[in-house]
Amino acid sequence: MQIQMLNQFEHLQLFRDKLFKGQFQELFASSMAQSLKLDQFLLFEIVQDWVQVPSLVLCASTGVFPSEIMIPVNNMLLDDIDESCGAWFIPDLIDPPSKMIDLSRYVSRLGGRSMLVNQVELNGDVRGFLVGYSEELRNFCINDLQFFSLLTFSMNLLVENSQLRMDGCFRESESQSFEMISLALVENKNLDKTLTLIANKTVQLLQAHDVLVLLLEEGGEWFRVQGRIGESVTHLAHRRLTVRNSLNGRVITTGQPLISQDAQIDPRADQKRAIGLNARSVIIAPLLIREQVIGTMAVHYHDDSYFREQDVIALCSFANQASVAIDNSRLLKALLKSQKDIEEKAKTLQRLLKETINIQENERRRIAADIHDGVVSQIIGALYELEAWNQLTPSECINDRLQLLKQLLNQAIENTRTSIYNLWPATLDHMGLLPSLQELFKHQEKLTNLRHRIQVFGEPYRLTSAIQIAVYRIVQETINNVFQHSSADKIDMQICFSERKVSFRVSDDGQGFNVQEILQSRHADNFGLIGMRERAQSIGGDLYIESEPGKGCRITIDIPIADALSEGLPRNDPNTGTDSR
Amino acid sequence: MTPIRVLIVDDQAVVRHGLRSMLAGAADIEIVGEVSNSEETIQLAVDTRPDIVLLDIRMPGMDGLLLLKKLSAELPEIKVIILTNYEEEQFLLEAFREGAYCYLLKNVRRKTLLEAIHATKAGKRMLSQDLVDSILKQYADLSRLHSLDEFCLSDNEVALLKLVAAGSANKEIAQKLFWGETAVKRKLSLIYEKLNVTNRAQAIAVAMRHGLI
Repeated sequence: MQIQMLNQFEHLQLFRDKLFKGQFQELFASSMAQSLKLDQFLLFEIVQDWVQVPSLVLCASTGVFPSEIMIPVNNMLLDDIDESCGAWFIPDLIDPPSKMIDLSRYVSRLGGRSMLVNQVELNGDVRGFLVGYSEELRNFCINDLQFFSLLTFSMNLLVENSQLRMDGCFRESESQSFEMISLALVENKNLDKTLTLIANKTVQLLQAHDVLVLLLEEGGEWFRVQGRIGESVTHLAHRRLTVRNSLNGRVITTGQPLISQDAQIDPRADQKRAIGLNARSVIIAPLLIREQVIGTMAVHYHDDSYFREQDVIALCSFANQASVAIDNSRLLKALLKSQKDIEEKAKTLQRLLKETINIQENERRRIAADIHDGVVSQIIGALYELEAWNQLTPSECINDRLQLLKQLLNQAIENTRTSIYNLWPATLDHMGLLPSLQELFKHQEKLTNLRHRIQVFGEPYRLTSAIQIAVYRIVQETINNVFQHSSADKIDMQICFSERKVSFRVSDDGQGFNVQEILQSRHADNFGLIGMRERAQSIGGDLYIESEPGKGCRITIDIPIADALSEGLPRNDPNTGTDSR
Repeated sequence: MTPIRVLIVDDQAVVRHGLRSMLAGAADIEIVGEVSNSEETIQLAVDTRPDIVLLDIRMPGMDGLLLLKKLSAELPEIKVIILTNYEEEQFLLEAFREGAYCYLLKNVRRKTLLEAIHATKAGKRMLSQDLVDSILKQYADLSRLHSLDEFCLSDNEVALLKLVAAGSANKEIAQKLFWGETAVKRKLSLIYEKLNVTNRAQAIAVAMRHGLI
């Protein structure tokens, strides 16, 4: 008798084991099987994924394989399967009992007329059916039934043996894979290499065609292909795939593994994509880092394949290993980056400190020069005039000399005031920020003809003293920069008090500059800008510089209101920044 | 009698004006020009051939001391009076090294300024009275340092000598300095050796003569 196996069903659990084939053949060639005088024996396996209805799949036949090998069965067959034991005898397939109706019709279509059926069990679970049929109407005797039961019993043993062998192989190869992966993880090789190793082992163990490791991108709309093995997915290197309406997306949402018997017709799947990737049966496991789903790992089969629970468990284990690799690599990257950031920050701070000291020293030098050239010179001048009060030149009278003295002393007083104002604007203490800024702009306009305009939006409220000083100094520095570098004619200031923040914006119509270039250059002037930003950050705010050559410059200071409000004062103090004493 | 020709160099107009006023009544002094920056000074000096330049140290651009150096090198016949607000000795010493004749603080009296101009014309040197004291003190310090160097005495040893000079006995000294009496004796004999003397009285005499105590 010719035994046929269904080759394209290599993935059927029973037929992964090569030994089983030989034993199967031997069994039906035995005299006991022959003595039943049946025309064909058929072996069916029950396949059942977690979602779809159970089917019987023909996995071995002593005759020619039919084109139809899968029989969807109603649940009745399986419902009370446990209660029945022993063989069924269906004398006429034209009139079968209702629970056997699907199977009977199938056998009938193959040309059977009478059949014997028995359940094939594995570890007490019914895993399939053994069918023997005759093309003639037959009346089986009790002996036949007993023989058939014996045959089925042998079949059970074969299946069980086979299962044990396969389980052993699977476990061994699984543990080998995990050992290798663990080693790779410990050695902390680069992420791509580790993922490739994991993917390779997954494909081998699960006998899949392709495997994909997909990472969720920020925003959750896209997957990035992080790892892949298999011919049908090679072209996906560094590609992105949409998350929406895909099986992988579903795994992201549920955080649970998923099986699809045929992704090309599965309504949950992105069917076009499945067709494009030549993927039919797929298993997908989530990649989890600290209970967060960060991506998926999917194995694809190019055919209609069937899985056991342990396949899913194995895939989940591989996915966990991949997650650890990804997590490690991310942590390492973050660690290196934060280390670098800290170093950068420390360097910048050191430079700033140096620059701050320079600025302070320059300021002192400037003030010393101011006093020397201004006040002291005027007083010396006055002293000389006084010293020579009786040395009048012919054209001069004593009144002229006194007038000159008065003028010199007044100038000295005026200069002293300016020096004091430069040291510390008294208006800040007495009047608050807005009047001080107005004063500052007016002062600059008087000195340098730099025209200005100040606009205030929103209902002003009083700011903390630290913020007032910081904003004042930043604006002062900005005005100095504008005057020194921009050749601007006009400078505008907008102050905006809103619910969430207070913003100060200074814009000029000068020549502008390339912001990145200035910030990155090691030139001393850029410390002004960096220092201004640091100062803004020191009061919980931030500073933005917008400029382009030829387009002026705009500097914005944003301070969140939580940091900005002066404590213990009402939000809507009508005397903006005016001392409420 | 030909008047003394004076050129005023100061960047502050009020100061130049004041100097003109001060010198206006002096018949023997002629102001030949005034200039507000170092760069034009040399040329003006060449053109006007002054006897004396009144020069400020603090000037924009090239400072006064550098200008002084240039003037001394290029026009050595011109004598320079430094007129400044800086009383730091380092400026003063540098100014004299570079050939200045007088170093006056700006709050100078008219009388002193005239004296200085005349003294300079006569080739004498002068200092503001305030500066004389500090210079002398510095000289004393210098000579003391020099002696300390010469005798290789440490501060401790000088302190010990002071106590000896004040008439303290070894026992008292030992108590004051928290030393043993033998230590005091040993240290004293070391000091005698350094000063090349043999007893207390000689040691005090040498130390006082050299300004050590």
